[in-house]
Amino acid sequence: MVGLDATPDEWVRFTPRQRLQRFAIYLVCVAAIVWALTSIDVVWAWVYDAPEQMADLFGRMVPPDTANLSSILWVLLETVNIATIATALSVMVSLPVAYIAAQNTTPNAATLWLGRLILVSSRSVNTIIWALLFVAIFGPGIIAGILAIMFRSIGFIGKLLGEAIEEIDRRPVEALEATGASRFKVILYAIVPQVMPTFWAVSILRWDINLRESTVLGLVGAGGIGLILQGAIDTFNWQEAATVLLAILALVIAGEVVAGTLRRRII
Amino acid sequence: MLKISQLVKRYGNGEPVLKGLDLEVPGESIVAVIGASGAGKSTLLRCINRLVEPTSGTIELNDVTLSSLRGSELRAARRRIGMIFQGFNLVDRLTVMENVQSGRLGYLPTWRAITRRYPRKDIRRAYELMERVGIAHYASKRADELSGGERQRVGVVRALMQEPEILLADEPTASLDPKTSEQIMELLRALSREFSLPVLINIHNVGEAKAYSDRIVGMRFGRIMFDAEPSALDRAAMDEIYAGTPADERAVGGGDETEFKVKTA
Repeated sequence: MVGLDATPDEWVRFTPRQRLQRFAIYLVCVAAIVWALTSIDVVWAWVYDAPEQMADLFGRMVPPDTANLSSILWVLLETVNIATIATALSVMVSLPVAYIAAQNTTPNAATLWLGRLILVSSRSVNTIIWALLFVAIFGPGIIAGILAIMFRSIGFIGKLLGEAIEEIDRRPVEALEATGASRFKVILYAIVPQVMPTFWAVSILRWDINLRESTVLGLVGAGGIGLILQGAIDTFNWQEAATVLLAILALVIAGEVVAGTLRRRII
Repeated sequence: MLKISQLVKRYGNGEPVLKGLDLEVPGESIVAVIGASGAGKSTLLRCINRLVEPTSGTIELNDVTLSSLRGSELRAARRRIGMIFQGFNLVDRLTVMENVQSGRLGYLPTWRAITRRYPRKDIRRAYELMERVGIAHYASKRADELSGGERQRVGVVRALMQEPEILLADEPTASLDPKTSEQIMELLRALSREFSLPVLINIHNVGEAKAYSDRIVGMRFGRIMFDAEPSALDRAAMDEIYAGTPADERAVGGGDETEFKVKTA
């Protein structure tokens, strides 16, 4: 200890106790990684073999078989439609959910709790799991796919929109309340304009994500291009699989371009 | 005529922000409320249109008891009280016309509000008022494209669109440069005469308060310490209004406080 009259010339960031704690935390992290590495069962022969297998697969894929191109493109369009319809519907459903899930607009504690429950349950389940569920209920096809994407998207859009509502500038809201406007008109004039940019940004982003997610829905029978891909792989028709993969790649790039353009135009 | 009696506002269980205020504002006069930050000026103003809920006391505007209204009655009463804010409180992403018309929201059917199909007479009134304050050419511009002084003019027009019986202005010039402040104060004074409106202005700038008001009310820690015409505001009165700390106030006014707590309990 230095006396009160002496100017200290020593300073350490951590006390020995803190240093010990930090060291212990590092140790736990390293242990967790080591344990994870030792617990997985890797067949190393298959890993060494991979380059060869890759070349082989590539050989079988080239040249891509375009015999079914027209039907592949048709299903690709269906995939885009699944994504678009599901995004549009989930945007509509997520509006009231966002409204009750935002602390500053929700009518009471019960609705806030309900809103958050909807968001959490929607977000914690992956699209593919939702798809498995809906294929079991509605049978294979587009309906299951649309519902699966919707159920996942509602949580995503609702959560981000709810946060945007919570972050609005309170002052215009106060001003419009002072004019004697009803609650609904205050929302319309003071809240809606403030969340519009987020609304568009989130909707476009989600459409972009949904486009990619809808391409794999077919793997569990929920419609879209994934169905053809699965068929091609199951029948070892690698040349057609290559065509499908290229088509998906083109779709995703096109989606990215469209989303980017929309974002620049609207926001 | 605005009549406030025994107004008390207490947040939670703390010291009251307003401690039994009495104030009358007769028609067509400009009353400036001055006082240090925390004196309760803003709370006083917000109690009048009930943006802040008074703890006790009554507030009457032209024989309507504002302090007892609820729901749609309260909204109908608020339509008659125009308010102007320090931060202008415009909706930045809406056009000037939409901001101005939002002063009519309390009167407007919902479908008109949604579709922005405002009644002809409202549009004419908006253009007249915007012309009057010099912002008519901005009607279709977004509010955030305007300068501070212009934005406050939009705020003033929005309040006037309500066809108010009184104007409340909460530090209307505190976000503006000195020249623009004077223009806005000048405008408020002129509009008060033109529309025969009483105007209650919270203001930090004592010079402006003296220059543009008919009467000055000085507040300190929730009480009115001074209430007279501007020329009576001398050095001693200023010291009275701006001196002291809340602790001193409590020590001096201790007896008072107890008495008042018994009264409101």
